[in-house]
Amino acid sequence: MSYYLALIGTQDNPVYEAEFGTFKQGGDGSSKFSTEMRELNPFIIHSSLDIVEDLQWVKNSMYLKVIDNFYGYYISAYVSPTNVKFLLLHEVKSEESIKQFFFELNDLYVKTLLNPFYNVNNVIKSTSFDLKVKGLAKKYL
Amino acid sequence: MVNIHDISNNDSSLICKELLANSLAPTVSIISSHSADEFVSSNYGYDSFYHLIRPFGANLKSNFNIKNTQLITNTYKSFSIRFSRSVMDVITTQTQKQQQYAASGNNSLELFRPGDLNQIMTEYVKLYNGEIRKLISEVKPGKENDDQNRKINAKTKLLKKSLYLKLISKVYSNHCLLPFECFNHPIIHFIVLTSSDSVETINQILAQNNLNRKKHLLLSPDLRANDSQAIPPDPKVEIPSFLDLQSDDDSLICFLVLVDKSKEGDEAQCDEIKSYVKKNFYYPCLTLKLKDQKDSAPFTGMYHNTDSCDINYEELLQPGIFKSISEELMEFQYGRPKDDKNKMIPFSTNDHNNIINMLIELVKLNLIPFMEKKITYWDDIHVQPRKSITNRFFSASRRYFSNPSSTVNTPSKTSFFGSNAHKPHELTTTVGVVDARTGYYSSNSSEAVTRKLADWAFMLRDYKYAHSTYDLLKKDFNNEKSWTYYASCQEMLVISLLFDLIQQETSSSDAYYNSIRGKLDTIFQTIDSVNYTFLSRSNLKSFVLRFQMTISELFNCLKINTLSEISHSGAGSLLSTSNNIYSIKHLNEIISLKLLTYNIVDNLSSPKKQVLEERSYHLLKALIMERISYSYSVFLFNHSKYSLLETRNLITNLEDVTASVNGSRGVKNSEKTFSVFKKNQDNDDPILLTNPYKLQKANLAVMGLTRYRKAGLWLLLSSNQWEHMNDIVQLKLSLDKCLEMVYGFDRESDGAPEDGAWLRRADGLLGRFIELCENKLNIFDEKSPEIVTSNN
Repeated sequence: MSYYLALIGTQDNPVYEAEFGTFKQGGDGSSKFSTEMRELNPFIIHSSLDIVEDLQWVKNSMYLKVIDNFYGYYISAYVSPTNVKFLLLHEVKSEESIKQFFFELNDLYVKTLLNPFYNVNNVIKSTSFDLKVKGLAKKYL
Repeated sequence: MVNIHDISNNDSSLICKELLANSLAPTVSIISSHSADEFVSSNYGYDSFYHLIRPFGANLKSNFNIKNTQLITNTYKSFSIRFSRSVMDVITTQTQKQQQYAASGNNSLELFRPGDLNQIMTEYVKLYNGEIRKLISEVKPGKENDDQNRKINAKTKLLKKSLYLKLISKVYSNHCLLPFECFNHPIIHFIVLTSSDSVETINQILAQNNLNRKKHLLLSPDLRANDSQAIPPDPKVEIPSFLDLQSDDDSLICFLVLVDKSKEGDEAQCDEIKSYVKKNFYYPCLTLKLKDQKDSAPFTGMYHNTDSCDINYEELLQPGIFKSISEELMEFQYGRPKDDKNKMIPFSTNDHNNIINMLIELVKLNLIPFMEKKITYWDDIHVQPRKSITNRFFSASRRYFSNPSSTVNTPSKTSFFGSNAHKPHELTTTVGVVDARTGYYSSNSSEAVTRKLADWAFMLRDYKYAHSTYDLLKKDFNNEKSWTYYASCQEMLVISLLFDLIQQETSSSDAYYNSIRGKLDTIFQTIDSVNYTFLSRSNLKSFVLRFQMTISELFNCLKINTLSEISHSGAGSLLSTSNNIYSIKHLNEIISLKLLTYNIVDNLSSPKKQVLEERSYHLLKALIMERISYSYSVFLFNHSKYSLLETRNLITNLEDVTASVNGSRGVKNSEKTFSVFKKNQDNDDPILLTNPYKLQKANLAVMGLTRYRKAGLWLLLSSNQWEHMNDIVQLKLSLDKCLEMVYGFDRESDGAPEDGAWLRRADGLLGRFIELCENKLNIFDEKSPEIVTSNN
C-alpha cells in the first residue's frame, strides 16, 4: 500500500509533499506507485481541492474523511484553522488511523508555524519535520 | 487576471439534445422514379432525389400545430423530419451489413461497429489536424492581440470543440430498420415522379416496392393487366414481419411531381399526373417547382457542399445526421471524383424556398394529421381498454387461461406461452403475435402497435403520454422475457421522462426541482436495468454507448449536478463528494463498461482457432475524457445556486472571441465567460486589507461551486491518450486549454511561491507534455505536414 501526502497552502501552493508506503504487512515503507500513477498524483490531489472547498463550509469538523476517489484510490482531507489543507491519497479506507495521523500532523504543523522565521505558505524544508512525518506514517498507516 | 474559458453555458449539450430529437424524428422514405433521378442528376449533380432532399429535413421553420392526446393544441416553431431510401433498398443493404457484423463476431443488430466509429473519427481528426496546422502556420508571432490571430485562435478552438459533436452526430445517424423500435420505420412513402412518367411507371413503382395496396381500385381491366405484368418485387428481399407495407394503417403513401419550370407546358402535364393519382388512388399529391430561375440569386447556404472531406465552418456546430457512418467512410476512402464536384450546380434561392415550402406543406397537411389520427385510434383500441378498471380485474385470468388460437387477431395480451417468444425453431408455440422463426413481434400484434403509438407520440412531442405508454408496455415485455424489446422500451422511457422534465424547466425553480427529485430514483433504476439488459442479455454494446452519451447530455440540459445539491438538507452533500455528478457518471461508465473496446475475430492468422483480440480506442477515449472535462467545467452553470449568483451580479459576462467566427452565420453565439478569481470588493474592510499577513481568498462568491481543477485533470488525462496516439496537434490543443483553464495560472500573491509550479515541474507529466509540444511543433513549422502526420 502506498500513500501520497500533500500540505496545500492557502493559495493552492504545496507546502510539503511526501510519498511513502506502509510498514504493516511486511511493507518496507517505500511507495509502490506505478510510474503513470506517480506522475498523476499531484494532479489528482490538486483536483480534489475543488471538493474540499465545497465541503469545508458544510462540515463541522476539521477532518473531512474520505472526500474523493479516483479509480480505486481514495483521498482524505483535513482543513486546518488557517485554511491549510492536508490531503492524503491512499488505497484502503481506514478512517480512524488517518484521523489520528492528521491530528498529530496538525500538531507538527502548528509547531512549525510557531517558528518566527516561518511564514504561512512557505515551503517546509526542515528535515526534522520530514522525519517526524515519516515516523507518524509508520505509527498510524 | 482575466481567465477566459470557452464555456458556452450548456450550448453544446443543447445542440446534442437537438441532434437526438432530430434523430428520433419521423422518417419519410423516398422512392423516386428513374426520370426523377435523371432530372435531379442532370440539373443539380446529385446522384438521386434522395441525396438532394436529405439535408433539408432538419429544423423546418413554421408554425406547426400539434394536437396531443388530451386534445390540447400546441404550436411549435420548428419540426424535423428525416429521409431514408426506399424500404427495399434499406433492407438489402442492411442484410449485407448484418451478415458482415455476424461474421466479425458482433451482434447483427448493432447500430455500428466500434471499429467503424473509431475509423471515421480518425479520419476527421486527420482532416481537422491538417486544417489546424495550416491555421497555426498563419499565426503572426509576437502579436497576441492581432485581429487575425484572434480569429485563428477562435477557429482552432471551434475545430477542437466540434469533434465531440461530430462523434455524437455519428452515433445518432443510422437508418437501420430495427424490430424493437419504430423511429426508422417510414411513416410516409414519398413517391417522386416527373411529367414524363406514365401510368405504367407509377404502377410499376408501387408493385416493386410492395406498396400496391389498392389493386382492386385500379379502374380499367387493361390497367390491371398492366399491373400483373409489372416487375414484381425482388423475391430475394424479404420484408420482415415487423414491417407492414401493405396496410394504410402503418404508413401513408404520398406522391410528389417535379415540375421543370424552364420547360414550357410541363406544368400542365404534371397536373394530369396529379389528377390521375388523386382520382385513382386517393393519395395526396404535391408538386415541387424546380429550376425556378426567374430573377433569383444563387442560394448561398450550407446545402451545396455535402462532401465530408471538406471542412465547412458553418456546419461544425450543427452537424447533420443524415449520412451514416459507412457512407462517410466510403467517401473518405474513395473520395468524390473531382469532376463530380464541379457538376454540382447551386440551387437558386427560389428552388431552395420551394423545397422548404413543399416539405412544410407535407408535414402540416399530411404527416401530422395522419399521425394524430392514428395515435387517437390506437389509443382507443390498445391503451384505454387496458387502463380501465374491468381490465385490471380480468387481465390476470385472461393471460393464464386464454386459448392460444383466440389471441391471433385479438389485441389482447399474449397467451401464457408468449414466454417462448425468443426461442426460435419452436414453431409449435406460434400464437400469431410473435414470429417464431425470427423472434419478432409481427406488425399487427398489440405490443408492436403500442410501441409504435408511444414512438409516434414521442415524435409529436407528447412526452408525458409517450412516457406513460412506455411504462405500460415495459411490463408486457418483461413478463414475456423479450429482453431486447424490454431494454429498448426502458431506454425510451428514460429519454421521454427527461425530455418531459426539460420541457418543464421554465416553471419556477422550486417546483421544477421537486418534480425532478421525485423521479430520479426511478430514472437511475431504469438506467441500470437498460445497461444490464442490453449488455448481458442482448449483447448490444452500441446501444449502451448511445444511451449513456444521451443520458449524460440530457442531465446537462436538465441543469442538475447531483441530488444532494437540490435537496434542502445540507447533510446530503456527502453524496457529491465522489464523482457522482450525473452527467459525468454516465460518461465514466462508457469507459468502465469497456464500451469502446471490441472483439476482433482474427481468421487469417489461425484458421482453426478464432483468436479474440480486444482492442481499445485511444481516440474515442480521449474524446470522451474531453467531454467529461467539459461537464466538469459547466458544473457551476448547472448548479442550483448559479441563478442566485447571477442575480447578485457576482459574475461578469463577456463576449468571447468565438463570436467572430460564428458571426459569419449571422447568429451571435454569446459565450459566457467568467473570471473565477474576481475580487469581491464591496465588503472588504480597508484597514484590514493593509495587513500583509491577512490571508486573502479572492473567489469567495463561487468558492466550492466550481470544478475547474477537476476539468483540468480530465483534460490532462485526455492529453495522455493523445500522446499514446502520437497526435501532437490535438495534444497541444488539449494542453493549451488546460494551461489556460487551470495549470498555467499564477496568482499574484506576495511572498508565496508560484502555486502552479509544483504541477509544472520539468520531470512531471505536464512538464513532459509541454516539452514534447515545443520540440515537435518546431518540426512541423518548418517541414511539410506529411512528415510528422499523426499516425494512429
